Amino acid sequence: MVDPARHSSLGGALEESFLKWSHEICLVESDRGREVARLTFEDVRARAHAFAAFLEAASFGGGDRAAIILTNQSKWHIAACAILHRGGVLIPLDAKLSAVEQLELLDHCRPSVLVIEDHLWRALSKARGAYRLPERIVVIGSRDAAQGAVHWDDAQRDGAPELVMRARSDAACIVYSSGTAGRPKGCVLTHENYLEQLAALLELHPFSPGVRYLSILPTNHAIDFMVGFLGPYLCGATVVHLRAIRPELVREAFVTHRITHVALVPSILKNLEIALRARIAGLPRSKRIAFALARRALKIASRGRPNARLGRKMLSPIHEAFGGALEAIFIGGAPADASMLRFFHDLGIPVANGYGLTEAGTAVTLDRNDPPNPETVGTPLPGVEIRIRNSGPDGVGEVEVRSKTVMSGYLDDPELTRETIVDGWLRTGDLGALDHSGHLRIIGRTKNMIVTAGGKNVYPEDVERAFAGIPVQDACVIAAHVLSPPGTRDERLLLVIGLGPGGASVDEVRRAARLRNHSLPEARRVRGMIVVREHFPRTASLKVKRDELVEHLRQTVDLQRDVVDLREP
Amino acid sequence: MIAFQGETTSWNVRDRILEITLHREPGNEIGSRTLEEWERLVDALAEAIDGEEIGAVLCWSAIPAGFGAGADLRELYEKMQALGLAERRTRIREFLTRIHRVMTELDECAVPTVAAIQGICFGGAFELALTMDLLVADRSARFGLPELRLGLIPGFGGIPRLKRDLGNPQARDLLLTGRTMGAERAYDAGLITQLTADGRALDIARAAARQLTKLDRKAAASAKAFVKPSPREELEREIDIFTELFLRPVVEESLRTFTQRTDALTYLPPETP
Amino acid sequence: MKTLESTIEEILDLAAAHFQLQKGALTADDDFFEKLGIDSLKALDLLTQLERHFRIELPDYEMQGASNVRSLAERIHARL
Repeated sequence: MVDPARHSSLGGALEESFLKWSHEICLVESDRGREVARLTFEDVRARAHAFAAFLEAASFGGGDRAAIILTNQSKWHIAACAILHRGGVLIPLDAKLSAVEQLELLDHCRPSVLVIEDHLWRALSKARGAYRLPERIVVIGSRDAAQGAVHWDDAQRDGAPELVMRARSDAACIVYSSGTAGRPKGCVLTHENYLEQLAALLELHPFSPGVRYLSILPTNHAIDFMVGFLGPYLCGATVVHLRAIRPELVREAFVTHRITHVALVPSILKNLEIALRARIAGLPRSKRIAFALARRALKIASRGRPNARLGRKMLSPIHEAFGGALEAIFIGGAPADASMLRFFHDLGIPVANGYGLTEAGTAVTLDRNDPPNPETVGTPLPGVEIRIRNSGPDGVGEVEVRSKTVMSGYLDDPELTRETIVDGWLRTGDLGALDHSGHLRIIGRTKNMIVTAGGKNVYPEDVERAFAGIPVQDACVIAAHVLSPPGTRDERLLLVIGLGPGGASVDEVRRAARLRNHSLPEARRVRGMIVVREHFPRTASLKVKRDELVEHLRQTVDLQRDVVDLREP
Repeated sequence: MIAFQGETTSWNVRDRILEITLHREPGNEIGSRTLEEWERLVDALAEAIDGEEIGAVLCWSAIPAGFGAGADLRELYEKMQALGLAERRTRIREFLTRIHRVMTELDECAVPTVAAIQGICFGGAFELALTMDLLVADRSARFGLPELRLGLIPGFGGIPRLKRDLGNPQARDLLLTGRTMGAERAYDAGLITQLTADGRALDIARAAARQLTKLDRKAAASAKAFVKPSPREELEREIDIFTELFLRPVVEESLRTFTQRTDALTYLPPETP
Repeated sequence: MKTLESTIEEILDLAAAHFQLQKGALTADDDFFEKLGIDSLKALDLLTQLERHFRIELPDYEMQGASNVRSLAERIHARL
């Protein structure tokens, strides 16, 4: 493994990786079960250098900014390597944002180079209006889309482009975290941030040649950038890209490429869980019994620590469905349900659950699964300090982080940066508590916390978790006083329901909600239920926009008439 | 949020409806680029259904002249020119297999689909329309399967799917005379279920699509699979029959004539001599 | 009872209105494809208008095969 500690920049670390691993397979592109391309580290180096030489000829160098808007493919990596080789600041943007959102971000960070996919460039050009665009646009895909820009094939030069050295404290990337509309939060992450993060992660999960990582999450996403790009490169591992992310193609890819590692968000893992449960339920009775026994035996043999090797031996039909080579699933980006994590652990599939935020690199805590502690997000990574600020009697307060992976600040927003990084500690905006064994539990967001008129702190996400499983599309907990006229002291908590097309009746929902409500302690119980017909407003990462929801309710709900009491039987 | 701006086809999700716009000038001719984009489309469709982001699909053409004129005969001719007989056989089979896969995915997809049709809807474009659950057409619409004029049969699933929707006598008339059928007749024959004033097909189709999103997804998927049989075996045979017809010299001759003519009826291929 | 002459008149009026012609610009013995200089799309359009107006089905080959307005009228008339 290339040692991040010996480098001052990502460009340097990548160059050493290319030379060290030259003949190992770096990238595989797969399309419907067929391999479309297979590149060694040497191949990728050559291609990255060809594009880097073009950038050099265009006077792109140390500190210059370049943005990438591409779906996952080998050219994402190649372009990124070229930009980092030239000491540039890489700005990985989300290809799934709307054209206008992308234009706003480009206007905010003003890169001099943009590498973009043909259909996205078409959409961007159409929506362009008065927005300024980078001077150099490189388009990947069909040539006719490259009007007014340079086609990728024409953006290659011969020769050996100079590796531009950077200091550890120089910016390596600007990564936007999903902020509120109108105020883009561009996290400026330094070479030190990334190199430290790599050192910490690779200590816990060392990759090596022979590791085959399936890249499903978009590479601009912090998790894939680390475990699906930088990490594998430094360790000589292989990254597999799929042309289309369809459930059956993903399952096929696991088998065809004998995938050893993958990173997922909880919703995709949930799909897998459902499919696996169906498979198990579909086994003939005798096999099901044998399976249950084997599962219990596995738990004993592995002493409660998920063990892929044992799992493969003892529960082979399940592991075969995953290609028989799966070692670990990385999961993050949103809270993961503890019972789902336990399901996979019991099958011998280690799920590396963690917590992180863009402002602090990729991950600040990781569950070591030693033994697994799925109600928590694990313990701090090496080099990371965590503390709880303003903790109440329940030990819950704002989570703060101090680490060399914490960003240098928000781009062009010194005020917000000063509010966020205070005395060297990053205020995460998340509420949590540390238990006696040093495991961190995340409760919810600080700004969602409700303070009742009686002065009690209530965390809506916590209460919402109790209602998981009722047959509705959306469920949110709010404080009634945000809907009441000012001056009234309404202490109630209300459950807001979005019925969705599921077809459940209000009565059924009420019965299900009532049952769960009674399992909550008195102080956290919900007094009533409001049913909403429309879909809840959500962000690009599918988090509910609570402020908008409350605004909508303020305008449409009559507290006297529209609240369904959950207390009466 | 899935959105795609392509050269021939674009799509977007609005109000839980996947809206597909066909916009290849001059007549939405279906060639290799279109096929590539449609393959992307069915992948995006599967993702959207799996992610429960949509409750219906709406397909329409931004080309005023019509929903589509059919396959890109010019491209077909030019590509085949350079190839020997054996390679032609392989390539045409490959093309047909790919397009069949796309058509079948659209035909069988788990959410209900509706197309808005104006103007000409011939050949491959008609075959695309036949994969949709509901057809809304304005009074300018005309439907036709003129492939026999070239010495071919419809090759994108036309005959098996036409048989589902039209009485056999009507189907025979269209196929064997190569004539076109107007919107009113199509409505009377039951092929289209809503007939609109000129230019109004899109908004009426949108209203239908919105209604489609309101009903229970699982029940809709079951009902659709139950009521609409998928003619898998016939589709296989169609590829075989088309390939054999295609390799004959008379077809090459027709295609050559088509690509060279400049006269009035370019949207209806010339009759074979 | 409609006469062939009245059918011819109706076709001429329809064509005049649809293609914005002066009255008398098109006569019964004119080859309408040539005289109007219409392309295939307009021809199909005309077919649709004729079908709607006369409430008949007129296969394309009948319209294409008609050399002038009079013979077109005959084919339409045969279906009334």
